Amino acid sequence: MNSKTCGKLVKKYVVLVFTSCYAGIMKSSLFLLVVFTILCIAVTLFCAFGYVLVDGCTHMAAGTSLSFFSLDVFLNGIIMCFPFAAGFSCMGMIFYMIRHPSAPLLSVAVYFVIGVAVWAFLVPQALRIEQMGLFKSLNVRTENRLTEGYFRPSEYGVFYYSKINSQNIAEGVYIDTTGASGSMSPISRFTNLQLAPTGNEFFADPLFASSAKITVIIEHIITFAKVMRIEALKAVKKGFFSYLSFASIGLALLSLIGIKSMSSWKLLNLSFVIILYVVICRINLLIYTSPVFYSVLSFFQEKKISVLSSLPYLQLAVNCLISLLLVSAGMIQYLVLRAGERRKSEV
Amino acid sequence: MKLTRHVAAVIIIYAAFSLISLFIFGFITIKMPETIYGSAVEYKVYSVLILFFTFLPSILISAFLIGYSWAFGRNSPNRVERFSSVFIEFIKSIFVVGIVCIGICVASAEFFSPKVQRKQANMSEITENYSDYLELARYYTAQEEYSYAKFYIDNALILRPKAEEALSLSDEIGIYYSSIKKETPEPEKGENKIKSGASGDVGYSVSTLVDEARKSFKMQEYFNAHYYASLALQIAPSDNGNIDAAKQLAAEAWNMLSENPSGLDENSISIFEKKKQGYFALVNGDFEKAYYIFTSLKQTYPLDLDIQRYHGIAFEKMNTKYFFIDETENLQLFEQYKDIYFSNIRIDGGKDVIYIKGCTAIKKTGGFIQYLRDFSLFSFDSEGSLLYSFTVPYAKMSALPLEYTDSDFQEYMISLGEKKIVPYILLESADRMFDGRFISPVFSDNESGSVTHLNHYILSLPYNDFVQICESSRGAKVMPLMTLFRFANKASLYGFSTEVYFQSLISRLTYPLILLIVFVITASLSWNYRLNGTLLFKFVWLFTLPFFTFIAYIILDTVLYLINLLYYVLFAFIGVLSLPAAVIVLVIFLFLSTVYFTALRAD
Repeated sequence: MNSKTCGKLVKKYVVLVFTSCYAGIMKSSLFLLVVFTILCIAVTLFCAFGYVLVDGCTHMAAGTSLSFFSLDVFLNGIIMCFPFAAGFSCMGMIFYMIRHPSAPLLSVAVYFVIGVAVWAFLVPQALRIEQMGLFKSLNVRTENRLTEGYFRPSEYGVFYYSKINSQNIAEGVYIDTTGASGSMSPISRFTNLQLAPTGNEFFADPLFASSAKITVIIEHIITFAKVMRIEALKAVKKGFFSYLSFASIGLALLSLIGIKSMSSWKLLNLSFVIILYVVICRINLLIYTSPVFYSVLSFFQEKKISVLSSLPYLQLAVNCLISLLLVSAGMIQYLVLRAGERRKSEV
Repeated sequence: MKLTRHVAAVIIIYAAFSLISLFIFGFITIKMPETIYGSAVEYKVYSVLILFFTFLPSILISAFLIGYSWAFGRNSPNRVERFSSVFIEFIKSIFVVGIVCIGICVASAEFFSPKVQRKQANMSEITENYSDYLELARYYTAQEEYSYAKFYIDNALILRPKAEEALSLSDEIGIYYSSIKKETPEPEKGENKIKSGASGDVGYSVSTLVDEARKSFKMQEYFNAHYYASLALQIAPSDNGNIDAAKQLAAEAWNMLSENPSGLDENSISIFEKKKQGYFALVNGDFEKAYYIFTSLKQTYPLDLDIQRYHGIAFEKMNTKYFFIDETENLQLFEQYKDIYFSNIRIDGGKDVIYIKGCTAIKKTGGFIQYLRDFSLFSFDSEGSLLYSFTVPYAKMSALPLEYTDSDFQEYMISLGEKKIVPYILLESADRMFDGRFISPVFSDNESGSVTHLNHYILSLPYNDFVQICESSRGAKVMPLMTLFRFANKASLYGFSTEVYFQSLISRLTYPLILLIVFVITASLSWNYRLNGTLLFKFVWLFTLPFFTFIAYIILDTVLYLINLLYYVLFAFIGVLSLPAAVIVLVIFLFLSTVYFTALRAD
């Protein structure tokens, strides 16, 4: 094939592609990229803003001046939140496809290309940048000391520090509001109480820990984000296969596309996608944290099934299985739908 | 209207279904802790209702989402243009349904949920208090302090009248208690003393009192003659012309009283002697002794005018120094506030840390009289070092007009903005009938030994602030909104964080607006993912509704949490202006979300 023929062929396909675009066939499919980009930027900024907010609130001490906004914390938040935002934005593309169901096959192809690019390139790159610790040295905030003269609720009662000296030794009274101390008097005096450094707890000041108490849902989100971040960083450090095992969560999440048309009611499909998204995240979290998966692992190790005898292998297998189930469900549903349509057109 | 009816039907059915499901779930899974005394059914009902109120916004949002998704499909034409009249009708319906749902959510969050939580907490508090009382009764029995032991065991029996261990301990204490006779406590050395002058015979001039004394003397009513003459001497200025007459009358009446009256039988002489003892005690300021003498006389001779009169006077005097132990009976069952703690800046710059386990306001008095259970006070100097502390099983608080306090205190309170009344706390209680049973503050940590006995205490804070502190004990999230509005700004004066109270205030005030925005966005979602008009709603889809509730709960919980944190930031930057700023921003969001909804279309 000479260069002239090759050039003609390329020209022909380019014209075809653009013609298709203008005809609107690919318009909504390519629009997925726009949807993904906008969503990814918006979610990253939102999460980074949330990160700054939580960081600021956790450093507060009652009655002291506050310095909430820090550019370094914000930039660090962007780098930290980007992988999560990118993963979440893939789900946003599914929502878009549920709402605009035209050209399903082409949309799915674009979706997978973006999804693979996210998990194979964007997420590991973001993790590598994070590992460089660009903002680590700037991220250290001046620690606020607890202030005197405030009631600070604790798990079983309330502390009141009447005096805190420069060595962070406090005196005051403790009110046992729950009766947990077993003491006859609900209020007692304490002296020489060495206060822990404020950075030891999530909230520096217990006063805010009780009023801005983290809800169960937020706690789960934070736990998930923490564990996944640590595991992702470890996986990137260890090398290609380790990261591949970790990124299998991306495969499972991308496969949620399979159930986008399970019901004729779009809203129901939307809810299925969200629920299964949460379930997949939860399963992957449990792989790292639950003793059940460790016993499963030891069971395979005892049976000498080497393919499933390490945690990355197990994760890969579980996610592949989920992915297989979802994709199969999607394909079966698609084939049944096509068969139905064909039957209708024959009639 | 058709649209609204459809959605309302879905919401009502789903809310009812959720409540029934939660009741079934609750009655099967929730178990009342063994340590709690009371009805298990009652406990479960409260638990289920709390659960229902927690999920209520999510339940309503999910029902709203599904209802509109279904109703839009049925009630909208195939092609709808942006900003068309169809959307205007839709938005009207959304606002009507949304506002009703918000009303329900706000009522449950502000009123029903706190009330049910309080009732459930009461069940466990009764058990806790019973155990505490029993332990305290045992302790004071071992210490041979039977007045205190009797007080605590009586209260334990009020909470659990059939408890065997309490009954047997009560019998044991009863045996010892009936034989005790204690000395009355020494006079008080209070810090902030009230000006004298509070008595029964007020408003008489010196000359009137002398006339009364003369008249009584003529009628051989020597008690009265001496009493009026003494009163005249007490209030007369040194240059008053009636002083000599009063002195003479008092002396003559005294002489008459000192002699035993002639012509009386043995019993009458004995009564006269007792009256004399009581009267002398009264005149000498020992009105505790006088009160119990006249109380005992009054029981036997209720028609004797002297006894009636001097019993009344002694009773009034007693009331200025003590309250009666029987006033506190059964009060615990009607406590409005629990676990109240606050710090109070004293006139000398030091701070008192006060803890009250329970507080009962007497409604008849408009809440001006309150009984404070387990009242503890820790007094710190301006450097934060402890001076002394005391605790008392019950204290009685009333409103004291500021003019009855000393001038320094008045000036200090006026500088705080209070010109009328301050909380006055009586710390000692006495038995109504029998002498020897007094309950006084028990001191500890009294290193300096500066204060050994206190009869009353005046708090250097406005009376209304005390009421607000009591209400804040329920927590910033559940205390009455109006009280929170008034209290937020001065929270730091009493040891609470202004940031926390302001955040809570903004959060509660803007909650309806946030929900309205959520409802409009939910409606947009319903439109985008509406059910095709040609499709029928399948019965099996009903079982997927809890999924939507779960998703709504996750999203709402996260959003509200972040918004609440944002309010802290807002308050840190712009202080009290954060409230109007938050409202303005939310109104803009509401406008934008409404515009977004009306800009949707259908091809």
